[in-house]
Amino acid sequence: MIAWYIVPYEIDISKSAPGYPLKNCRRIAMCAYNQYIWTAQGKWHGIEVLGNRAIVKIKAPQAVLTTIDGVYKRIPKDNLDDSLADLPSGVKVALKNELIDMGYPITEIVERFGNDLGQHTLGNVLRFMARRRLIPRYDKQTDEVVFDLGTKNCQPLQDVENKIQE
Amino acid sequence: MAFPTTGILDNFNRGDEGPPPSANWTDIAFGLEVVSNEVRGSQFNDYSWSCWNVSAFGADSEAYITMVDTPGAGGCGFSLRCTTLVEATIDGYLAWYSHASGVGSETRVYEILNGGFTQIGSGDAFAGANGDKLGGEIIGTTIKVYVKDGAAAWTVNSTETDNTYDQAGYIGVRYYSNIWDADDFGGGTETGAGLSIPVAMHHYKQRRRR
Repeated sequence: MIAWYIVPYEIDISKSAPGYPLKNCRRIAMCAYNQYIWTAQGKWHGIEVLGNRAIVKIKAPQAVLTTIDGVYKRIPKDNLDDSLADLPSGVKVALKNELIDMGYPITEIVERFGNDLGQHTLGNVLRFMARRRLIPRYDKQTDEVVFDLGTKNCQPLQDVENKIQE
Repeated sequence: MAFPTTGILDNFNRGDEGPPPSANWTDIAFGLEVVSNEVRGSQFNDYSWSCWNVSAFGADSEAYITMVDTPGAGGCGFSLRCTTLVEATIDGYLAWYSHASGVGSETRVYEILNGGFTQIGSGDAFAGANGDKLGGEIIGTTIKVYVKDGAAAWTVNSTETDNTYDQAGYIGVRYYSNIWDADDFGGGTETGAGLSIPVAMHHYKQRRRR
């Protein structure tokens, strides 16, 4: 089964991270579930989007998805061509609020989608999320990653779609 | 396509030296050293990173090494398309093997930006053992981590894509811990060796003498 999630980035402070012992290594938080997903013959891939987050697509048994549902925000459709028209109003509002929380201005959201995400597809929304991402910078003085260098392009959403197929 | 396509750059067969391992290397952070004709990180419980400074390679390039032994926990990998030889400004990619005691060893690909790392994708399971070989390759926007599991052939264990850096750059080796010995570092500009080249076929008809 297939599912899409919005997953935060986290600092990898394990000894297996190339940056150890510094806190200069970032990864999609879904990495913490790699063994769990792979043991169930599942796999996943993701790209970074605005807001220090990733769009992640997983192919895994239902039991795995049920577990992941309890940890990260599952996107309420499974295929990029799926229309959002039948989503409850509250779900569409939550999706729109996610875009705002990522850092997209409401004016940019309205310009792209109007006032109703229901007129669009899952793919439209995810491609919007992947318009840009923050540029990370490791501050050696404070031993932390900061985001004060603006934004850059995301990797194509199609990379995720191509890599994780039903 | 065959991997690798380039030869050994450093077999470390010389007296103990470093860091850096020789004048052909530049230390990015702490640095590698030669001990008993093999190379290792110079830091215990910390990272070491050195780049081959003789020339930049690429843009398509590769690097590989033999893992003489593996530590209890740590990692080893190759920096590719490195833009500088200064940790604070180095950008590029890292083809990485993370070794865990028991379950959890993986190969991964990272983007390097100003010396910090962002993992691309999920990584892929691989349990390395003493004597295995590890390799990294970037061709176009595709970054691969290769493994050679014992006597088996080289195989691709991780494949990721990223279009951020597309210029020639330096290759290097990064370690965590100094209890991980390696040997026979090789690499350079990807030559495309192994591609089939059309050969004209000539048919001969033997004439029978009567």
